[in-house]
Amino acid sequence: MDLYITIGLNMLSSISILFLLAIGLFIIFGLMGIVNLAHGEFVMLGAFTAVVAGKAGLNPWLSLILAPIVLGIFSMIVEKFLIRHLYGKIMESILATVGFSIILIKVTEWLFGKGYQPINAPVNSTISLMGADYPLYRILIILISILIGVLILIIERKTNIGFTIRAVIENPSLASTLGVNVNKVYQLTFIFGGAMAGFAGALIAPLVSVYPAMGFNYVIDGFLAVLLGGAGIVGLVGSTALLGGSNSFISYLLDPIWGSIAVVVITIITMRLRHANE
Amino acid sequence: MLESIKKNTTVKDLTIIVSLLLLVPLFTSTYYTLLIGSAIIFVIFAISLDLAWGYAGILSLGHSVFFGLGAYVYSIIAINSESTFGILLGVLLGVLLPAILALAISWFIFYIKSSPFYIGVVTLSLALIFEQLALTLSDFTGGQNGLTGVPGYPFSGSTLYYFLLGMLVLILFLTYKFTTSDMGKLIIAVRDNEERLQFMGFNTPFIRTIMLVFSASIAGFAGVLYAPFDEFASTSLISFVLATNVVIWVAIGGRGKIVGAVIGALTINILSPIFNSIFPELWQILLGLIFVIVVVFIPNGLYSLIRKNQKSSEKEQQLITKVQKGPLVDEGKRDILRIEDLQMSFGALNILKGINLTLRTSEIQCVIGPNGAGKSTLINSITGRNRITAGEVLLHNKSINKWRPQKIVLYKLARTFQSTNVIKQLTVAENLKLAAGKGKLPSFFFKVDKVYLSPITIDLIKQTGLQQKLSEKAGNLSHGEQQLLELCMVLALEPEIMLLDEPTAGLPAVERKKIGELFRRLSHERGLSLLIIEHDIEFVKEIADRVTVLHDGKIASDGTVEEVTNSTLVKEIYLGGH
Repeated sequence: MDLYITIGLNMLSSISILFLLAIGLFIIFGLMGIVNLAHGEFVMLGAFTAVVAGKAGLNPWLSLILAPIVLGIFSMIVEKFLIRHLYGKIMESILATVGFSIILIKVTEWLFGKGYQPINAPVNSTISLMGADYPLYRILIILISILIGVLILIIERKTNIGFTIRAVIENPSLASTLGVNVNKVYQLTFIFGGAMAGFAGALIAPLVSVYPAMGFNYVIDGFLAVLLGGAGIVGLVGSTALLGGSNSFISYLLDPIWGSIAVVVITIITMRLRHANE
Repeated sequence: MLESIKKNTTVKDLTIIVSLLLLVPLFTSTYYTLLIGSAIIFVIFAISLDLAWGYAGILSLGHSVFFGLGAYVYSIIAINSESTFGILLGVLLGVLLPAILALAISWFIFYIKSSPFYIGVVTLSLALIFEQLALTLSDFTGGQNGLTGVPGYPFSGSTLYYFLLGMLVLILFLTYKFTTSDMGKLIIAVRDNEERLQFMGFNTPFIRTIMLVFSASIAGFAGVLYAPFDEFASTSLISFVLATNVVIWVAIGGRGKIVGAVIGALTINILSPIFNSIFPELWQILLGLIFVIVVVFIPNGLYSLIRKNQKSSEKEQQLITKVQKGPLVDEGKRDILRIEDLQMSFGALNILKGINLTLRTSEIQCVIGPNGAGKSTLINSITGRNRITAGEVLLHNKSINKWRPQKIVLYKLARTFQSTNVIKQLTVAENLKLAAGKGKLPSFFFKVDKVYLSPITIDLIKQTGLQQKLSEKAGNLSHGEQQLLELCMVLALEPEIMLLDEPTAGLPAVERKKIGELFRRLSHERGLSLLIIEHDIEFVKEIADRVTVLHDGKIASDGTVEEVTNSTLVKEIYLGGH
């Protein structure tokens, strides 16, 4: 019985991690249509912030606040110098952000080397759940991702900010004639998404291998989840559940590589079946 | 021949590059000669990506999968069978297996309404996966250590170099002939305006599949050339790093122009080994920076800076009148298209709320109505552009509800678009040639300089003055001329039914009159069925046999011109009542 619980919780924590990664992308790309393939590197930088904070002797919980701040500032700079030139140009966005991510990886490798970085979790204890001992930190991640999901849903549906963003997405020129500073909305959205990426990176750092090139796997899975999920948060929850859960389960049964393959295969088959008549 | 080389910049530049490459062994040591030889293999790889991406618009961010697969397949077979037969089998499968993989991928990514973004993400994920697979399946691939002992070439030194150069020249020749052939023009048109090409009867997902398969084969071939060169196959050949690198070479050099890919790949692959031994991280960061700057500020690559004006030695296109047998359709009016209770909604928004309409041969039916009534949606629903929510569209009594646009066009139902939708990159004659092809794939090697069109199409071309502008790029025409070209292109499809969405909008009165006469000729002499969306009531009065008034997604009135224009209901609709 406790084996099943452990597998189930592993799946849940896998789903949660994917959700945290995808939510930043969902906001930036799914809502605003801004393509940023360097998103994975923002996650990586969040993880590295946590590593550096750990090496400096800071409280690990502090890095959860530090990382989003650092990445928020970083996103602001990136938006100003790079992303702004790319609005509306999909092909150029893909290429430029891929190039940017390569630069970020190489610079990080230059500074830190290519290898894995050590980092400690804020809590190391396990908690007993229905007979199985399970790491408390993972449970925390599951709870945090649920919290964030609900928060974003509320913001999207019930607040002024949510309305404003939806108006800008629907009809930017009309929104701007109504006094909405459209560029500001894009900028703030990008910063928020980047900060979320940093937060996710710092949060998952104790659980995964932290190294400069870690980002690409995450960004691919994140984008696949966003593309599969479609237009709303609910869809995103569904797609991350499907993809994250399958990845975890199949990795457990066979090998992590087959888990990764499963994510791609499930996506392309579902997309193909869904759009077969168009 | 020298003359035509001088006139054509692509051929001239390629000749210069190859000539320089010919001289390499005479001026450098064996070490550098083979370094450049290795670069030449990567140039072939880059050309394969340029074909898929630059020409066909398929952003393949995982192209190394094809290259690496070719290298591994060749290596595995060649190591295990040292005979000549084994080598040949290795070459064959090294080219074939990537092609088959491309075929499989295509089925998933082209046969849906996908964006370049989706294609980019999926192909990138493939690169990551295959690299992992190569590491995991170490029984086959040697895992992290790779496969050593791949049998090398039977020659070495300058001979090997000239062999590789010969392969490059072969690929360059084939690529050049392909990109300048009629098929090459079709590929560019699909890249720039896929939907429009579907409405000309072309099966665009199939065309894109052909291109990816073709490109993957060449990439596999490059892999097959590389494995015996290095006598070693490793995961770096199938890696995501190589996949992004080849994109960088083609982007910096300039995509869609062959020479750009050659220059980019050659330069970077000659400089990289040199700089990587001195300051590797800095060089890679620099390359990344150059890439980003080029992408944002010089999107056509560095080659476009060198060659601002491209000259080509293309022959004038000739328009030839086809022999026409008789009217397209029998005399007399009969029902040809029936629309029964057609409903179309976008989610909760109901646009068409139950349309009943019949189109007859030899008849002009005009559809009028206030903006937002659903007129364009009606045409979109009939022609497969929008999905029908309920009801039936019957063409010759066959339901065409679920048919794709390309199939509907082949059954002689054609439409124009409200905003002009010509292929701006191609000339007027090339646009016409595409339309005249009616969905059949043209030559992959030759450029036929004759365009066969029906007499009435030729008449319209002459009448509109487009005959004088055959070699002009369609994008350079005025708006009115583009609209007339659009009309000619639809006529070139030789349809039995034409659906026209405001065909005379923006045209001067003189043109309108001529177009009106053309429509009457088409319908009353040639037996076509015409459905025309119009705003100009005077024009409608002149040419319509029947008028239908569309209001708020429903037909408010349907009858002859007198009946409709005298109806009080219609007057109310146009004056804003209900």
